[in-house]
Amino acid sequence: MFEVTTDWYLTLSAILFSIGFFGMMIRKNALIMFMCIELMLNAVNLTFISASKHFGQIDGQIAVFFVLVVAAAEVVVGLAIIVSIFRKQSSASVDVLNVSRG
Amino acid sequence: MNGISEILGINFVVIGPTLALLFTTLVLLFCTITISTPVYVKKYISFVGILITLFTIFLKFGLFARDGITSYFSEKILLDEFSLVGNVLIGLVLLLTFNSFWKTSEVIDNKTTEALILILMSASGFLLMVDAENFIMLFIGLEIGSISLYALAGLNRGDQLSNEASLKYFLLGSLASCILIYGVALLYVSLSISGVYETSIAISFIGPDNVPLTSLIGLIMILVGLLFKVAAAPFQAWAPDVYQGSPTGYVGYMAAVAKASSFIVLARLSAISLRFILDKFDLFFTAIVILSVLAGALFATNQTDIKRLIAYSGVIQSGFILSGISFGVYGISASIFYLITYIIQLIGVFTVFSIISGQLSSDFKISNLSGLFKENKFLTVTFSIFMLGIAGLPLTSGFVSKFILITNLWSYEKYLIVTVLMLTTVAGFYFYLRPIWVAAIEKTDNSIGKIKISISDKVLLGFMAALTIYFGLLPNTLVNITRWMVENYL
Repeated sequence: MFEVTTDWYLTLSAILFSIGFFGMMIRKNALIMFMCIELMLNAVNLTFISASKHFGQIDGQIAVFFVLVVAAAEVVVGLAIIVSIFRKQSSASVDVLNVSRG
Repeated sequence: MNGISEILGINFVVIGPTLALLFTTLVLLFCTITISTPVYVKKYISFVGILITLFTIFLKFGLFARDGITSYFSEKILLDEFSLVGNVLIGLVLLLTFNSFWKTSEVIDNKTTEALILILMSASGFLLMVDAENFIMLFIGLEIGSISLYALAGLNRGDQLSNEASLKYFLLGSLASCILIYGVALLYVSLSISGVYETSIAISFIGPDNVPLTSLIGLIMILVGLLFKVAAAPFQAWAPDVYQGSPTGYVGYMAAVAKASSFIVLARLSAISLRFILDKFDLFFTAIVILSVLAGALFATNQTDIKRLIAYSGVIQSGFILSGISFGVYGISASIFYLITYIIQLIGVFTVFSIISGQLSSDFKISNLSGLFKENKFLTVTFSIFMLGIAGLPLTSGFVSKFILITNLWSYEKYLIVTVLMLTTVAGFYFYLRPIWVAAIEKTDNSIGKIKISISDKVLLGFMAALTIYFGLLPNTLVNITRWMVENYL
């Protein structure tokens, strides 16, 4: 009845990316914003994989490896930064980060 | 054996600078973990590493003179004029900021090696980024560079402003990277390409009028990701907080290296990938340029913190540089001239700040400068030269770069942008001259005492101030270099 084509995957990844983007804009918790970044990177992975499968090329799948590695590196640094802030003020909300403004 | 590596284009001279910096960081890591090394040895190791990097950049010129524009590593790494100039710029930034980031790393408690490793790694990432032909390669280089910078911004962990700067830089920078890589993915989906030259070939193949909307959106997302890094409005929100919060000794390096490499990549995209469809992006670029200069000038006028002031001035300068990049090849050469002179002034300004307010300080009010002239003539004079250079007073390089840029825009008939840029320049004198007024002319009771300047700082500041004046009086050499850079793309 329904044939799942590449378009479906691309639409799904676009929706995932938008969810991540708007989450980034709306949410105030640093950890949630962090999850939104991961969601966006995974949407990118889905796009690469489905396009790669569609074209029958290997390039997109190789790209996914690199994006995954970068995402892992970002997790390491980002969590370290969040932990170092959390130790100081026992809250991960970005609302308390209002010392510098102007 | 030789045949295969030639077919794949494996050539270690091309990535020599990156490898040299990587090797230096490994040696530093080894020295810290295994044998307890005195601090000055680390200083010599990193300095020698930077010198070797400069030498390998010199070797790339030899390779370029022999082979011309060539791709290496099966079309992943590109050796062209842009990558050469980008390499030289990043090497120059490393050399000019070495003194101030070394001193900062020395006083930051127990983190000397971490700081050095982060700085050298970020430079190696940005070197990879300016060399990249493939967009995935560009993304990796950008991330290696940026992730190190996020950590560097928050290195002074006792300071709350530093933590805050680090988190803001991290969240917004990662968002920019996500947007960039999704743009790459969209380009791959629509045209099955992911390279700088592949893009222009594909566009000329299908015709500029038939470019699918998806790939246009993809290209715009790539540009947005890069514009985030250079803090062009409306993507400038992170810049003031990061400049204010990070340890002062590092800000010069952080700002200069990100700006230099991102603008080189933008220039290459505009000269090669977008060359057939540049007029489709006219509206986008015009909007960004006008927003940048207006928002920067608007916010800069009522700043009390001088590092924030420089950050907003950086937004204005991004608008200026972008205006040249976005409208054609001669504009690109003018923009590169602007970029080089601006980076020298930027590094100079932050070197002065780190001398006056201490290496680790995060807050630095304009009123802290009051009465600087009384005891510190040299610092005030160099500081004024840099500020006037950024403002664009005649006899400094800032004036020449603005002049070349605006005459080029005039010949492209961009009258609206020319008007806005001129007005911003005039308005800019108000907030650029205010710190000089506070430092040199305004009468005050509690002036700053005599500040000790080391010989190396004196030489560096004198050199950068001399360059600012020199390019203002005799710009021919640099103009010829920037002309040479673009003459293959006419």
